Amino acid sequence: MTELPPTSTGSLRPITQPAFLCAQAVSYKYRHAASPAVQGVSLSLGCGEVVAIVGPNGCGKSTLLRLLCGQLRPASGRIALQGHDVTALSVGQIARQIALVPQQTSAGFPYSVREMVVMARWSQHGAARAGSGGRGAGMATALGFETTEDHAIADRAMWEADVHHMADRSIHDLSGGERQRVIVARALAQQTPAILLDEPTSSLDLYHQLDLLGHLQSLSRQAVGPKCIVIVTHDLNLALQFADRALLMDGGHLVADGRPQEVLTPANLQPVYRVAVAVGAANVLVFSRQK
Amino acid sequence: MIQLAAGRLTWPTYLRYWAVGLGATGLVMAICLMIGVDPLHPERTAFAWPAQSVLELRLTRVGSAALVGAALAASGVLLQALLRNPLAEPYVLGISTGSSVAVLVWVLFGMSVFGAVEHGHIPAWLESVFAYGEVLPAVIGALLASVAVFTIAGVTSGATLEPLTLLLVGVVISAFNGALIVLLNSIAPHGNRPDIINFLIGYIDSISPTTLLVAGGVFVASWVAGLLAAPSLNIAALSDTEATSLGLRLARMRTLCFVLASIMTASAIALARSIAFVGLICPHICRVLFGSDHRQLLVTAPFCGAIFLMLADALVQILRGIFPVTVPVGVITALAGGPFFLILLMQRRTTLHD
Repeated sequence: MTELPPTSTGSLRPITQPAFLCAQAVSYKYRHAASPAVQGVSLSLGCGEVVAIVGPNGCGKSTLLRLLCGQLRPASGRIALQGHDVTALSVGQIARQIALVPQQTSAGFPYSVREMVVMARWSQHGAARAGSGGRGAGMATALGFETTEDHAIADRAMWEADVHHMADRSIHDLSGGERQRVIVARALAQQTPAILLDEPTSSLDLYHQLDLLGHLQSLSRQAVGPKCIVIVTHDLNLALQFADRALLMDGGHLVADGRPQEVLTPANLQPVYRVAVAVGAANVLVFSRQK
Repeated sequence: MIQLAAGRLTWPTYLRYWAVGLGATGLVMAICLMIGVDPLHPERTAFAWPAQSVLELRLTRVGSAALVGAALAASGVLLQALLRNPLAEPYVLGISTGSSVAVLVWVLFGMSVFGAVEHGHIPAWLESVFAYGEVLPAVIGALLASVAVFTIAGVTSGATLEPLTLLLVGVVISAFNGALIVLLNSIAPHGNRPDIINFLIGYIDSISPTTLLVAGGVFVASWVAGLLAAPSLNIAALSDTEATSLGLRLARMRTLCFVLASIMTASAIALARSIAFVGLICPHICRVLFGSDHRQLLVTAPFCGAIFLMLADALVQILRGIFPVTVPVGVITALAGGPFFLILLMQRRTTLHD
């Protein structure tokens, strides 16, 4: 566990330590819940790795993800983004570091796919306004028109998520899987060092599951600015195939953390999932429920 | 679905929206200026460019209609984005009627208080505030009504406001305000009482040019602020989680929009009382024609509202020539808007059940 530096509320500095995102003894309890959703979780995430968070329903995976990106404030413990307490950062500062693909999305109006994706560029506005010479400096017109560069970034993100051919269709006319890919494209267009995804493959067909995870893996391994990718998933096979690291959660606790081959073992999985499993080199076979 | 514009919003497209909006509004305004009371036969409707003496009166009337329509439509755009619901508008949410209550209180009681102390007993600045007429009480009433609606909805649905709860609370507040208007009117001294039917349904009549100018100034100021906030409105209409993860301070954005929408509504109420459904119909038409980007919607919808209400008022003038009565313009918008609201509601039902 990396030691966290003292809390600082200043502006973000370049990375001074290997860990991009740190959680230290983090707990969270929903208001009317009997027990905490996340209890005493400590972990440290770096750029250049694909991390899969797995575990049964209600084990606190999504809650942990929302804590990591500052959507929830921990009841105790601390989350540090590049050494800064996440709760002390503005949502704008976080949005320039972490992109989130939530499980539930909605658009109140029938935006086109292109409009949805290019909205990501809005998150860069603050940087331009603050005069830090950020990527979107040209966007700082009062009315917020996107620049040609913004549209180029959005176009590339749409190609990468394979939604470019539906750019002018309404988001309300898409299937669940297509919509999921649009949200991924938007997260890519945010161009943040970290992308957190909550069950991104749940509605995707086989082709797009492999396509998406393969792409995320390549983003984590790119030479310039390797990304930190965190995926909450139920698909243990995809975790084995694509993740560099797996976190196994149960009842709000982090029960195992390590290479997928070491974490996703029958000894670990059987008590957590209450099923009999056999694990091969790149696949998990489920036999039966445990009585 | 026919879409007149799609793709990227750039300066030329944006300016084209303004040019077309201004042009169409100007054209309709010119036509509407030609429709009005025949000065020689007051019971008849005349169709001709009015004489200089009549022109100012007509200009105030048509100008008021345009302003009221624009303000209600702009307010509707803001409220719909904030509630992520195309059914929201100031009348449905009870903001219009709340503002009307305050105006009625002013008309019934405030003006007589002001009249009593008028002769040099109050400072000049206060006198000029009073001279603004109904704009100030309208703004106060609209803000109070929004605060009431959002506090009650907040208490019942938790920290994040449920759009459906808000609509329901708005309906209740609206009914409450309607009753309050009738009650206040029946306990007030006889001499001050306005025509209560007109008051409840919205009308455009005998508006002083000063009030029009003040209300116009108030609306334009809040409109400009709204135009600057428009890119954030696009983000605000996504889910809470998405909006926050894209860096939007949702609470601040909501407060700003509520204040702006209230002020816009108030500028309409000060002139014409609570006119229904303009804030619903116009944003919807513009969304179908030009797309959902709020940066263009906040330009096109107000122009559409102005045109819609000027035409509704022209219809009132034409009807007056046929029947010997003046129908309040609110009747026309409610008759057109009610079914429109129901159709939208039913369409939403079917998409929800898919």
